[in-house]
Amino acid sequence: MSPVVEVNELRKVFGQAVAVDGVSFSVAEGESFAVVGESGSGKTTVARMLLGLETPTGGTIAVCGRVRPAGRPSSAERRRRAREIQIVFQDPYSSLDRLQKVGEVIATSLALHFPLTGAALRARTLELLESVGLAERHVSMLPAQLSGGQRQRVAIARAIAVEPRVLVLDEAVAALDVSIQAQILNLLADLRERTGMSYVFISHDLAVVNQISDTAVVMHQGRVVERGRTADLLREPREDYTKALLSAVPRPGWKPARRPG
Amino acid sequence: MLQSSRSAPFALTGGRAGTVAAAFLLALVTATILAPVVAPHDPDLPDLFNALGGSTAAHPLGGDALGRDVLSRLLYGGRTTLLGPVLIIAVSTVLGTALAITAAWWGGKVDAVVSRVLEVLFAVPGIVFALVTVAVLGPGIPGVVTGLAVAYTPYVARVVRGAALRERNLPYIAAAWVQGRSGWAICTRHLLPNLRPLIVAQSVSGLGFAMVDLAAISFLGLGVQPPEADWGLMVKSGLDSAMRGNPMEALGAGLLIALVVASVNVLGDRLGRQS
Amino acid sequence: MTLLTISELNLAVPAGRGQWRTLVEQVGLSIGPGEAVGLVGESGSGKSMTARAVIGLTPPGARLQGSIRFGGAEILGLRGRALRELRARRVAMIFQDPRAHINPVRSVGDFLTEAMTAHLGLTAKAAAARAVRLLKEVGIGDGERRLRQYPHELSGGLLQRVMIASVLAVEPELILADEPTTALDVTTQSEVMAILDESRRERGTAMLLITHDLELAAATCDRLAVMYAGRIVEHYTETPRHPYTVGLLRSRPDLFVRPDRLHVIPGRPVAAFEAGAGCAFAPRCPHTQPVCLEARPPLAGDVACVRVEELA
Repeated sequence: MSPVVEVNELRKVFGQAVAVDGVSFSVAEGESFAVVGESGSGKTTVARMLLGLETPTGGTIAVCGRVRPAGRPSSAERRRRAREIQIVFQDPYSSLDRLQKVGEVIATSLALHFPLTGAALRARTLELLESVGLAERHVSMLPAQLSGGQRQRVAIARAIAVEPRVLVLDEAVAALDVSIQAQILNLLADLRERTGMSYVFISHDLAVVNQISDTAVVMHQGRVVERGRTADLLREPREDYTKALLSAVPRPGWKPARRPG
Repeated sequence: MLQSSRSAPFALTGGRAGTVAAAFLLALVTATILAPVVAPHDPDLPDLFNALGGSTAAHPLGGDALGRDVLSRLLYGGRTTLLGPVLIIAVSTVLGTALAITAAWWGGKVDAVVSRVLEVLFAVPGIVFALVTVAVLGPGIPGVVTGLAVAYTPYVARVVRGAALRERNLPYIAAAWVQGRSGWAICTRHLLPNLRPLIVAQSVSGLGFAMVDLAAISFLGLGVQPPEADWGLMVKSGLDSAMRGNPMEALGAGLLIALVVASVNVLGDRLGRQS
Repeated sequence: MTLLTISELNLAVPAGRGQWRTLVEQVGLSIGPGEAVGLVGESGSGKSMTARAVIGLTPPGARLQGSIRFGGAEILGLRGRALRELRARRVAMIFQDPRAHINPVRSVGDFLTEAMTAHLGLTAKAAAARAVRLLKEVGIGDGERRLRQYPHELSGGLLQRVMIASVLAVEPELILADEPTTALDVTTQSEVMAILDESRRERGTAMLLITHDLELAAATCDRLAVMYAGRIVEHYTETPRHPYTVGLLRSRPDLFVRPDRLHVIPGRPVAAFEAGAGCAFAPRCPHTQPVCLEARPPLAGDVACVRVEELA
């Protein structure tokens, strides 16, 4: 099966700083793929380039078999790409328009891509909200009336409303309370099972990555330092950086350690 | 804004001040609109028996040098004096906001060009614009309003552009972009509504400046042309009358200008805090 | 002998129209000299507010009741000079976001030496030398250069170390660390926690670690107190027994085990003023029975759950 995302020698330079340096990977249809890294690793820049929010300095990105040409895309082209790839951001507070009601958020997204109006549009909006664990009473609420977890559910519903083949989750559970994080991770697992979407899961949290992804790359200072099946990466890390990352995660019997030297 | 260093002259705040200011402005606007009904006399009718006359039952604020009723002239004069700033602010807000959002949305070269143009406009004093447009269009309200509207545009654009840039970088805008919404829809349905409180506050504060500038230009004789009534003109002619016996004309017009400016500043400040 | 004893602490903030919002309810907690205690909870649990109450950093108009004793003296409601002295010398706080708590227009050197010259009576030169030593202690090598730098030139991890150095400078008896590593990378977190741990063992400084991370607190503290909806629901050292703590630990994904679905606590965490009359956790608890809804369960035998014995 041909990969749904294929990234080749991707590079991004901001002024003097090289944020992403020769990154290549591919994501198979229906696969959950994680990009692991700390701040400054370039993982978020990779995500933004996948979505077209940043222009690569070099290398190629192909989504659903189509190579992304350089330059600012027309809005017709963006609408086409929207059906291929969507994103959920980290901050559930700023990723929704504070003046837009929950129902409108979803309905706007639907109306842009499907010939739905009136009752049919409303029914589909409700169906989507229910699929992410929200209810009819949330339709007329503003983001300020929702908790962080509920907002993140709205952001997920907005993304899956257009039925994309790939969903990029940029630290999508990092800002949530532990008990809410588990709910959203389960929701994401259910959605993938039901829709067959592929995930590109950007995260610094190795335990979360273990729960959500099949394969992963570890990024450090703009480069991929290790790649493989997630379970293997965590059990038998080969690179020093991956080992350091792993040993820094608190767990029973763990002692904080200062970097050698 | 003629002298760009001028800062808000009144720092009155608090809930009650805002309510009082709004009520005062509302009452004043209503009175000027209803001038034909409430004014006791024809504002342009000279009455030699009332020339420089003091307060009487028929003429509560007395008469000006030509004996025209001061109260009636204040009421009718309020129409041009208040309408002018509204026009200036309306035009400069629309222009400035459009420029600011265009610059913020496209960024890069578009933003650079808009910013340079704004910088050039900033360097030219508002009064110079007014002089140029008055030279082209002739003295009177249209020329002055056009000139000041252009002069005010960069002030609006600068404030709105800063806020628009911050707003534009929020993830919800990126999400709308990724969803395939057009740039026009994102700017008009997301950016503009979220910037609206700031734009409203900015406009209301601007009204005070526009009014003072307009009055100053009328005072110089380039704005409203006599015999039409206007508070700026009344301050000028009233100074002369004051020395000859009746201070009501200059005092009344001057006081009204000061009160209106203070009121819009209080309101603008309140709205600015809420945005 | 305890260093800090908080008892029956209640904190409410005004919510307009004469109403009050309770954020902290009947909290009792003690820390001995040199001891590390973890205060763990989710958002709205009141953990930060509890710590802030110790050094009088409560929101304006807040109503405080109960008692906070430090070194034998009552410090609740301390004001003015006495409060400044307490904060300057004896109790120090480390915040989640160091950037928001360090003056951006003053150099790192000014920030570090100010407290030493003002409160310890050191000369500027001696203070600078000591600042360099402290920076070295928190893992920042080229101290002389760092002292001349400004906060914006430093990464979040470095700045947090500067913050810790400033706290160590005054040799406090107690450090309140409010999510000190939440904004940091995991490798930096490990290092920052190691630095705090080291200073505690070397100087006998006590620490109250406020965090949402049960695993981090368990690994770095002597004992833990878990907060939910403004109350401490459990004190424990090894094995938690309260259904909330147990559920929280089970719902966290694991590094090596991958269940098909994670254990889930339904609903969302609530603040004290949102909770009903009974146990605040009852609406989310799998073991709720009618008795749970009657009254707030008392903290008996270190667990605030009326069913804890039968569940064990």
